[in-house]
Amino acid sequence: MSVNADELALENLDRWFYFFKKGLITRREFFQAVLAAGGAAGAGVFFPEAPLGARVPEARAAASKDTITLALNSDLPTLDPHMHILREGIIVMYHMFNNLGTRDLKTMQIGPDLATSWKIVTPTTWDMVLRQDVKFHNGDPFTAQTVKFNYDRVLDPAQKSPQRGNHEAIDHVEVTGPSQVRIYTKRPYPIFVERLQNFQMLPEKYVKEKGDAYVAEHPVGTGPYRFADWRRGSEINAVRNDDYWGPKASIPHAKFRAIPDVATSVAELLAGNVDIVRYVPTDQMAAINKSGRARAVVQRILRVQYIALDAAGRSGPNPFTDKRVRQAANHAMDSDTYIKRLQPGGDKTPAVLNPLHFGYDPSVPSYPHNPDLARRLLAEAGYKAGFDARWLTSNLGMPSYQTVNDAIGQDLAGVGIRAKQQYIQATQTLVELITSGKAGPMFDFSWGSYSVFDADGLYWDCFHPSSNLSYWKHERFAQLIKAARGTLDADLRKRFYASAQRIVHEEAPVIFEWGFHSVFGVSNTIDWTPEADEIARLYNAKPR
Amino acid sequence: MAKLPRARGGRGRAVSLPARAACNLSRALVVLFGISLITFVISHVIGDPLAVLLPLDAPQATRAVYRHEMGFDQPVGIQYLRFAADVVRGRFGDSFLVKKPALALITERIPRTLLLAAAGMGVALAVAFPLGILAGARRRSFADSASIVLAVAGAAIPIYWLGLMLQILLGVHLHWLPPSGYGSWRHLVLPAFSLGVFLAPVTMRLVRSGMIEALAQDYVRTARAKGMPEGAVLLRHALRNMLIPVLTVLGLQFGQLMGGAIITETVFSWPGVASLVVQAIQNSDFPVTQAAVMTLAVIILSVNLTVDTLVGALDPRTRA
Repeated sequence: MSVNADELALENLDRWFYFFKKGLITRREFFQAVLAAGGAAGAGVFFPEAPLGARVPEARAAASKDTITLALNSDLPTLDPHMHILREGIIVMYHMFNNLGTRDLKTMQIGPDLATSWKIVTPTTWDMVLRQDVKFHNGDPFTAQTVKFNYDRVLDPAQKSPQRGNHEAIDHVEVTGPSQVRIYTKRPYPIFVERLQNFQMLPEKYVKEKGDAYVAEHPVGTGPYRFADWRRGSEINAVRNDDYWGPKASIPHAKFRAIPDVATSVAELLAGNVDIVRYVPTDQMAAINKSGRARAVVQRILRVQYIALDAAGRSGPNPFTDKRVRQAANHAMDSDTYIKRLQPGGDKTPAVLNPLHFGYDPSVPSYPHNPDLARRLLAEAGYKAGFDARWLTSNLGMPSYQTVNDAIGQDLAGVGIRAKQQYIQATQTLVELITSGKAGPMFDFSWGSYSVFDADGLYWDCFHPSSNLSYWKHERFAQLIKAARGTLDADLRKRFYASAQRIVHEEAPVIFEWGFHSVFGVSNTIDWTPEADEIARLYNAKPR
Repeated sequence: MAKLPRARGGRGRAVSLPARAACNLSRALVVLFGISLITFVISHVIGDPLAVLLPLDAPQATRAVYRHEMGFDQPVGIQYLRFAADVVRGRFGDSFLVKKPALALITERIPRTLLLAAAGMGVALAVAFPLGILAGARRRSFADSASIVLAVAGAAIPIYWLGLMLQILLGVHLHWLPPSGYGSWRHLVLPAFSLGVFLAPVTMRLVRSGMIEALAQDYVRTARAKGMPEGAVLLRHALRNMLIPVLTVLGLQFGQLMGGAIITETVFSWPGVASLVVQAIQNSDFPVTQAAVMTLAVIILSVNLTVDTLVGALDPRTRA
């Protein structure tokens, strides 16, 4: 029951490849590494399993459950919950703050958090009742005025909150009682409740007295853990809030460690210094499971990936402006095999929507793998001899993305679409190319919908013709998704989205991939289940 | 290595120490100007800072306002002059991402990177000098062959691979040291050792060849002839004379050391300046990138400058 050194060594090959791709090492160094892998496998013979595990008595592991540690791939730029749009930030903030509503992980619906209930009064007015027993970590009470202050703050253009767009439909908030507010929206706002789960409440007096710069380093919330210290670039520490108004956390301390390299996080997990690692590479699952110290847990998440095609010709004329070519590309894909062989699993997304999105229509079929049909469609479109196309690729969180892309590239080339991969290291750079219209004709893209489990969170942001992320223009589709965000009638919305999905499927503005099944490494010293919304809640963990 | 003698030869006469220092300093200033220009051009050509500052769906009008506010709509020449004027005063602006002065973020991290670099250098010297001297003094002996094998192995092993293997062996399997992180001397051991192994081979080979060369000199024969003990010959005469080229190369290697630190810091989650720079580059955070490149350039240049000047001081032939 111990780690096999040979296996880990060989599995690190893809890390070196990653370093190589990132330009951190030269081609020569990369080949040296590959050669050295042989040596490492040999080293396994000299360092057999004997001393492992034996040196870590069970007692040590149990005693260390004073602290639960989560590995994050980067440090945070700020601890102000309104001044970032990072997944890592959402996770950390969830521990120190509360939201008005929060997701019930059993039903996946939004349930009460700081607000006990809400109801719709008119299509553009919501009444909300708040908890009365909540105090911030500094003793300030949580009141109706707090809610008004927080909405005002995030909506104030001078605040420059990058989350402003998430709440743009809110017009204003009115305090109607000590623990009651009325919220006015600019239009009927069907995902009002969905947005409640990711908007953390700051104490008004504290923020006004101390100023934003201070708050960004000394967060005060109402959450199950209170902020302890922040060692920039290294770790964020929090201690259990023993006066918490809700169910208290089982483990007294929570630690968020910035570990940029995944291989290092896995090593720390196996060494017992880290309890949860996100986005574990698929090929490390076996080594983790065999270690006896940790387990690899697969969880389906909301995030979807696809290869966008420049159907609108935003970056110039290209073959994908012809629908038949886009359909041909989809017929060339052997998605079932990729998911089965190269992924820890995945949910097919025949119209990009994840089955976890509200509005997903399971009756939309996916494109069958049919290379002959693909070649025929290409010939009909006038590309009998095929064509070359640039394909911007990037690591956007898909497990083993490089292997998957290579497989897709092979299958596309097989029907005549010779896609040449061009790797973009920084997501930010890819996003800049996309938003400025220079990413065509093919680019990797992935979207987590800001944890909004509603078709609007994906279709509106990525496919509405007015979005700078969209490389496809379709009038009818745009009308449908606009209508779906303008009514509160759930059945009607479902019907709008069903029609929209048929259009997306038929028009194939992208090469459809799938919703991720993400791999988490979890220490055997805790009981903990990963969540579909990618918010790792350490306060739900229990020592084993 | 050959830089200084050539400079001296070009003038045809020995140069006094202050004059040499002044000459080196002026050269360093030219290099600094070049670096500032390159840094500025690259950061303003590659990325658009507005993409970081504003949300994805910010309207075009908002973008224009910000572009103007930040001065990104001015001619590039003016932007560079403003940048250069600020740099001289140590003002790099606030980080777009962290909203704190960029230089403060860098100076907070620099001591950690220097600590790692110094420890790595220490390990390299501790390995390179004894082995190099031994190999040079006992040419073609078993010790010499062993040192060659070690040097080839050390040079061939990529630093990140060695780092990962050390983590797995000493951190995961044996539980002797923490695999990564920052906080105590125990966290320093593995990254310093990895860096040391990265640096040691070149230094060791240099000490060895310097030793061989020095031992063939007349003054060594004289020393031996006067009956000096072999140890004293090695250390007092040979070693002192071969120190000059070794010192020069060590100075030049300092830049490489900082480069090696980037990978080492990433592998070992060492919160030094390198990880900050990588993050800044990925997020088009110009102020931090610029502050980091300029600060590192100043550090590396001053190390080289000190070494150049020191070499002059050590070499008696340069004394007028």
